[in-house]
Amino acid sequence: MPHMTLDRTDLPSLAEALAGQGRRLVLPVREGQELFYREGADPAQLDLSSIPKNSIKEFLFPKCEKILEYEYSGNDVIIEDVAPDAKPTVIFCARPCDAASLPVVEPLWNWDYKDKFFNERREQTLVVTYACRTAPDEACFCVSVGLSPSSDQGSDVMLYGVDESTVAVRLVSPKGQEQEEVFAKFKKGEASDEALEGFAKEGDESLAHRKPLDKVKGWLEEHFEDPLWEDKAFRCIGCGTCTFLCPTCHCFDIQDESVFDAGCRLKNWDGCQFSLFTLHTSGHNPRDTQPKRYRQRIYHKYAIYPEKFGKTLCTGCGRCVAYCPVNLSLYDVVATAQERAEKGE
Amino acid sequence: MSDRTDKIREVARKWLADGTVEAVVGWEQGTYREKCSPVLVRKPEDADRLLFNDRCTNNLMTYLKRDPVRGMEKVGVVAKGCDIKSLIGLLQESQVEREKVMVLAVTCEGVKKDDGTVPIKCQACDVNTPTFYDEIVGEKVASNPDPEARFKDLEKLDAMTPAERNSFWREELDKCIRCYACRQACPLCICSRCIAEKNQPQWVETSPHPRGNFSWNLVRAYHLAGRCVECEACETACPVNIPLMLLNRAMARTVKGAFDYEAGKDPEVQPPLRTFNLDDDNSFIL
Repeated sequence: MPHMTLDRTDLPSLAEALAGQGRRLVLPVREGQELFYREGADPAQLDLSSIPKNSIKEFLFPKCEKILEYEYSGNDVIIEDVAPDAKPTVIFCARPCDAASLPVVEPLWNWDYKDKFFNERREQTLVVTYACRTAPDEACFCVSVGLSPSSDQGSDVMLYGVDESTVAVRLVSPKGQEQEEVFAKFKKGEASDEALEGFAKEGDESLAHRKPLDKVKGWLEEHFEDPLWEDKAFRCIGCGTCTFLCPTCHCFDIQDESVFDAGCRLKNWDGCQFSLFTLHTSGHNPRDTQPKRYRQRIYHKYAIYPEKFGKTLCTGCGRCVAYCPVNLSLYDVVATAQERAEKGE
Repeated sequence: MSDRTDKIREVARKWLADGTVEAVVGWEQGTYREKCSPVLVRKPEDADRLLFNDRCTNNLMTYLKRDPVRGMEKVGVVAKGCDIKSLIGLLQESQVEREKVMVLAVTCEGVKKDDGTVPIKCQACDVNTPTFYDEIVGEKVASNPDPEARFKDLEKLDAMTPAERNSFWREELDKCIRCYACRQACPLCICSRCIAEKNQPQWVETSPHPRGNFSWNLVRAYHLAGRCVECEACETACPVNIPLMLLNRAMARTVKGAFDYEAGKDPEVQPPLRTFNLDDDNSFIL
């Protein structure tokens, strides 16, 4: 089936047309030397030169979110539910590793409890993904976790920059197909399936140096105690950069904030690298050192989550590699695990 | 540069072989672009992992207050002049015992940030050739004759009205995600339990909303007033690009104006906000 093509210069107008249906618009723009997905940014500033520093996580799972309000009245507490602050949204030109994080975390938010805050946002979000022809950054390793630079997982619409002036459109999900008319207004021509084939090939080739990580889970299950953890995690300073920039990390903290007799309950991002994360009321901390906390992060992503939900909790976006303040690369750690598994160590 | 690398390896190898130190904290080649990465070398044969170049940006003094380095009898640390300023701060505040640290100083022409630009601290550096160390490697490097050039950036804040400044900081601090990379990278954030982690009572709201972010970032700036040595580790680590050094430099300039004191210069002098003298200038009260 042929795919419609658009002029690349029409992308800002397309973004506006999609947002024009009452949606908030999120797109990548440049700030200084880096790109960020920003809500309400000028579509004319759309920048596709690389992968943004933040992930799209904050638009579905915000860093701070009110989940209920309460008030003391005599001896009672009156609790009021609050509706999720979910707005129709279009994330325009998401990267495939960001879009792919959505199906990875969906089972988590719907496991023993259906999280209406995530689900309502997910429901109302249209994800229009801009395929990477080749890996946009040296930190990328999506192919190692079963994805690719042009993966369509989690996307409603895929855009392919087939050449300098042309973008091909593939409507992936029913939600994306509903938008056909909006895209059709910008239609300039057609592209065949073959025109898009180069993406898969060139994308994989650009990451040929990245290993598959299929043996990591088995290795981890046998190496909870291993000198690797102390050795690699020495340099970890225990900040939350990796977890907070990660599209799949989803841990949160609950805080009650009140003024006199009334207040609200908030759900804030939390991170497993903080010493308080597992500190018990008794004073005992089962993960009392940084290497134990670092090991936990790797286990959660590559052993525990796959065991529970059948998916790796990582899309290989590489942000934890690129932005770790001390260059402690998650890829290097799991690739070392894979190598040792291959050697039978 | 490679000359300095060779000499660092040579000294580290000697210290490890003759038992002068248990381990050496230094930089090794990283794996992302040209980045370097902190490394703990325990055996003489691993000294060849160490190196020095203009991407050795991390201030390794932050490891002196962490396990496993904190528990060591004696440790070697490779340091640029700016890093040594933070060691001086740690010594002044009795956080580190001088006899437990061997300082392997390295002269430095300045480092480069990830985006290739030269940090302000390097443009206005007054410690290219360190003066406080146990051993030093590298040829003497001349310093900037005008270290106060580092305050030039503050002029844009000075030119604002209070309302403009408030909205400038509101916008910048709204970006904060409370990852605490600033605190964790900072060699002088020494509290074993930070005030942001104390919840009985909750002094600082941990929520990354505007009020919580103001509380956190201003508490940290105040706690560093007269102590911050302007190593830029916080701003470099910040994943949302908050210009934290504008805050820290504004505090440093105020302290300099009020007390004629600069942090990280002399281990024998106490920071002004830690001491009280009867002849302190009280004119600001009256």
